[in-house]
Amino acid sequence: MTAGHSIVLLGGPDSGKTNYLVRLWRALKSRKCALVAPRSPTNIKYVESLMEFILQGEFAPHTDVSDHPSDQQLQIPMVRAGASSDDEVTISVPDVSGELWKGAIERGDVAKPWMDALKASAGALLFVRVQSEANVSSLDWVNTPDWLMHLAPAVKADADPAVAGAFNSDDDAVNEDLKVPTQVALCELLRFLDETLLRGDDGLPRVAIMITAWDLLDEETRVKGPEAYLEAEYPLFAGRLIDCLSLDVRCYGVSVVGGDFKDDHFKAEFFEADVDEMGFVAFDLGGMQEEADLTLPVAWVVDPLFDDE
Amino acid sequence: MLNDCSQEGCTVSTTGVCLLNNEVSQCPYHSGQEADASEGEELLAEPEGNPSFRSSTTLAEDNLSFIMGDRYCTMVGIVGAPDSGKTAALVSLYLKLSHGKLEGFRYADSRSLMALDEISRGARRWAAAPPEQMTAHTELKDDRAAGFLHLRIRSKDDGWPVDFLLPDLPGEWSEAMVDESRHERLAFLERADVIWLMVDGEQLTTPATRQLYLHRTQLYLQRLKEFFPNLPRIILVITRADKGSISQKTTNILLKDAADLGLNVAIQSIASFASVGNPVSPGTGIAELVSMSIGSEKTAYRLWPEAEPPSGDVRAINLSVRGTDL
Repeated sequence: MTAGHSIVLLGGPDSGKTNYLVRLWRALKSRKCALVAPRSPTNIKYVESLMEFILQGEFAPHTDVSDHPSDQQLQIPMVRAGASSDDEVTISVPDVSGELWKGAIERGDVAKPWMDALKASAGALLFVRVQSEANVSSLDWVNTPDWLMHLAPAVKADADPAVAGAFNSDDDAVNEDLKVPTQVALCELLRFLDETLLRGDDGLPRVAIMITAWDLLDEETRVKGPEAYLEAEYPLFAGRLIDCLSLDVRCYGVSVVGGDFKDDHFKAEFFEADVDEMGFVAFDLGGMQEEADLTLPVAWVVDPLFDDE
Repeated sequence: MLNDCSQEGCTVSTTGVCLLNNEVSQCPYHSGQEADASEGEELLAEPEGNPSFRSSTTLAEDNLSFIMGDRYCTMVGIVGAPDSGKTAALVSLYLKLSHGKLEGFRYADSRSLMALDEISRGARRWAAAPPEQMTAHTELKDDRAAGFLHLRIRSKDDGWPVDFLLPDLPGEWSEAMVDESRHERLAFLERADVIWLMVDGEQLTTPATRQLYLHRTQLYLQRLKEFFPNLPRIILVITRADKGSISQKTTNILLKDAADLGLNVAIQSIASFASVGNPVSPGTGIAELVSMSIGSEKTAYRLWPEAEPPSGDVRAINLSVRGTDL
């Protein structure tokens, strides 16, 4: 038995943190995965309240902003499959509202309990969701030429009158609409982790990049793998991952149930299926693999902790 | 906290500012001593703010050492009049990296990523009265701070990283150097690896403004040489190339002038943005400008051997007349 460790989940709003946390609990309980819960945690009220949604064919709602990490968390004992309970580690996984991290990125700070939670964490899962409406694209010359014109008055003069009019009439309103791009937010969150995660003598802290709703991508994109997806969608973040030598990073494509509940056909299939066989993680370790074991990213992140004990 | 002052109406004990504008220690009405907190009324603790992460904003000159201590940084000195296209060039570079479209390079890291992004979104702008000094941050959340932007890129060919320090300064500082000899704030130019002298190309191609802008550019070169005798190589960055190409005659005049001053000058035209339908693509020339800026002067000499200005009519886009190497 151990005193426990924690890992932290980070990501912007609607990035899939809560749905993964709930599905992780189910996977640990199934005793079919790389990580197993040898016994139930003391308090499972929070995750069970969210499990209701998934088992009834709905994704969990957005997480409330909490004042303290202990308000919404899964604190669970885990062992590696086949290992004795003597090798158990207890992992605390606080579920954090994406709004909290969004604010942290904009201000460059976070409330002390959350900063303490980061500093107490041995590893992390960093989330971004495919096709989320909360994702923000970087400005470009095709989608936002009107806004870029504020930097080039000569260009502005040639602009479509409607566009130029909107720009001239209400500068600040346009400005307000422009948010921190998702790839910049991801770079900043990775930096937060790099600055705060616990560093022991053995190896670098591990961070799993979780690209959720992986099932929404077409086959051609999926076979290229998570790294190629990031390179195409988020070049800044992909470049930062290559440059980051102070964290051990792996990328995973994640589908918590293997499909989209908005698809009635899939929903009907889900209701008839064995839930433990629904969902998968995709990763590239010398070749693309898809595994039904939803604990694999966490198993990789916490693996050094077992060796610590 | 200071003791109360005997002068009626003086708030030095709370504001630290003497009513008579005296140095507190010299003021005849004040003891100059700090109040003993134990004797005074109970002090309220300052409200505790959230703990912060390391800053991701503009870097003041004093803060560069923690980056430069880690690795060699190529410092670029960016000089140019207001509206010459300095900000547009930085934003164009950043946006090309954001979309993975900077030819030959990819993004790797930035210690001032939020500053780069905020400038690109127009979330920070120069205040009506631009800053007079470099600061790490401004008090007002929308104001832009004068300082350096850090950017690390990697070559797509061999993965070799290059760290740039790019100053983000109001154009008024450059104008004050030329017109009022206020050059102290730009002293870092002598420590720079390369200088970008930004010139509005549209003004150089417009007949009515060509002579004036040619004159101002020549003046910039003279003043730079006058105030900073040990200047590194200079890249004359001709902006707004989407509005037209500067003539060969203009190029020759500028290069001859630079040669007469003993300056090592190259020319690169860029179009940071371009209006819809313009045959010149937005971001044209930015990757070439970056390539030209990498490395020390010695490396640059080796990479770009002396070249005579090409003869005949030459389109300014991608025109890089390399060092006169004097």
